[in-house]
Amino acid sequence: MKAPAFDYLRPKSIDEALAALREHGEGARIIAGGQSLVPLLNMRLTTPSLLVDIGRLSELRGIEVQGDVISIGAMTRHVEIERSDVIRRYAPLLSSTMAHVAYPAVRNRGTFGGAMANADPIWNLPACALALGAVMVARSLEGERRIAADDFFLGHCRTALRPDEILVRVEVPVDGATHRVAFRKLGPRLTVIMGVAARAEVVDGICKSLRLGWFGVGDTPKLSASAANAFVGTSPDEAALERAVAALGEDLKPHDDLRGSAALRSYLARVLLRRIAADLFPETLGATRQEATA
Amino acid sequence: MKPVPISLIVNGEVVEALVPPRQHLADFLRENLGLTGTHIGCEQGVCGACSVRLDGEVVRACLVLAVQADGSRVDTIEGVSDAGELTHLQRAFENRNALQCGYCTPGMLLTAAELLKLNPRPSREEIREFISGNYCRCTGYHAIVDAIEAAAQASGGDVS
Repeated sequence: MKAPAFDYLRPKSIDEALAALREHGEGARIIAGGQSLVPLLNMRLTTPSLLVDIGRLSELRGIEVQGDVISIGAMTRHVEIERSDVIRRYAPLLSSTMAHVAYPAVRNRGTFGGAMANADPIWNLPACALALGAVMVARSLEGERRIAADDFFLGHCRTALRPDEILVRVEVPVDGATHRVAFRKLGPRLTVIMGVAARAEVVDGICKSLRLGWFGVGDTPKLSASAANAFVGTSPDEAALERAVAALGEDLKPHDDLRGSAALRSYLARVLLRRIAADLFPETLGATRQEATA
Repeated sequence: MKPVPISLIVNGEVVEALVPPRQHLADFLRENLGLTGTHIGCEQGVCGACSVRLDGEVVRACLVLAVQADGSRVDTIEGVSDAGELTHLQRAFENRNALQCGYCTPGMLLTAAELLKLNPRPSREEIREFISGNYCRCTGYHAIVDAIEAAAQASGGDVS
């Protein structure tokens, strides 16, 4: 199909973009790389009166280490993250996950901020943001505010961003020598069923912290704090894994859809948890145990 | 709604036009410029038939608005093949019967050329991964993977 009619504005600055959003209210939509919005337009699933194109605002691009965080400009393209040495060294979860984001031609244009702001619950990047404990920085004419990833994803493709705000950057923590990350998903590329991203800190064999960010398990990406906490403070062994698997039902209440039933997803969540635990803690939960029944 | 003036370079030539904001780049290339080698399949970014180069990188022309291409360089299958850049690949596709109806071929060739530029000696698995966003409904892909592999070998890793 063809997109409905709309007006188009390419502001020269963030302030000009913010002023346009303030003036036009909910009729305005931001377009960045357009790799999610243009399909929605072409299918007439969204009908904005004005598109505000922030894709060329160079101040929203770039990857920078600032102390113990990496600041990723919202307009940084997926391909730039995929090929960034800084990201590979300090946030390897994002490097390894990018290969699972759509296709090369889409990664050439899609943006990191766009993936967060569009907040599709089947995408892996919002789940990575949860696993990393990222911080979203939003700007309006009044100034900036910081929103923890945990508080950012509110519903299906719905975030804590207000209509007059722009996501300007995402801050993710720098991984040190004690951090470990992993990513797992199930299902074909175009019809992924679900998956999980993880970041753990392990010191002297003891799991100091663990965050598990899930996608494809409901209206939003979700953390499974109870399952993660089963490992924290332990030398992650089979007993901890069994406690985590048992706790997973408290964290995740998966949905039914065409890609799988809630019961299938609950089963697959347990399979994924066992696999990602083996990835994270190979010393104690090595690869031979990956295929244990859920 | 209000048309927007754009100026871009298509296959090396400056093009100026007044376009409605809702028109995507694939329609602009086909309807306004008659460059019908850019095919339209799904119009939702899935099939890869509309692949073009935007400022040197392969993108979906159905997922770029023509107004967004203002000030950019666009190279279509017509320009890139006329420049002789795809000769190895075109010969390999012909030799291996890597096309039947040909609808996906312009997108396949541009995507394959980008792969060989980034990775002159890809494995078969890397080829499959890289063309995973380009659908072919005829060949079953084996011949296409063969052709890209053969083109990489024929060029001896030199794809310029």
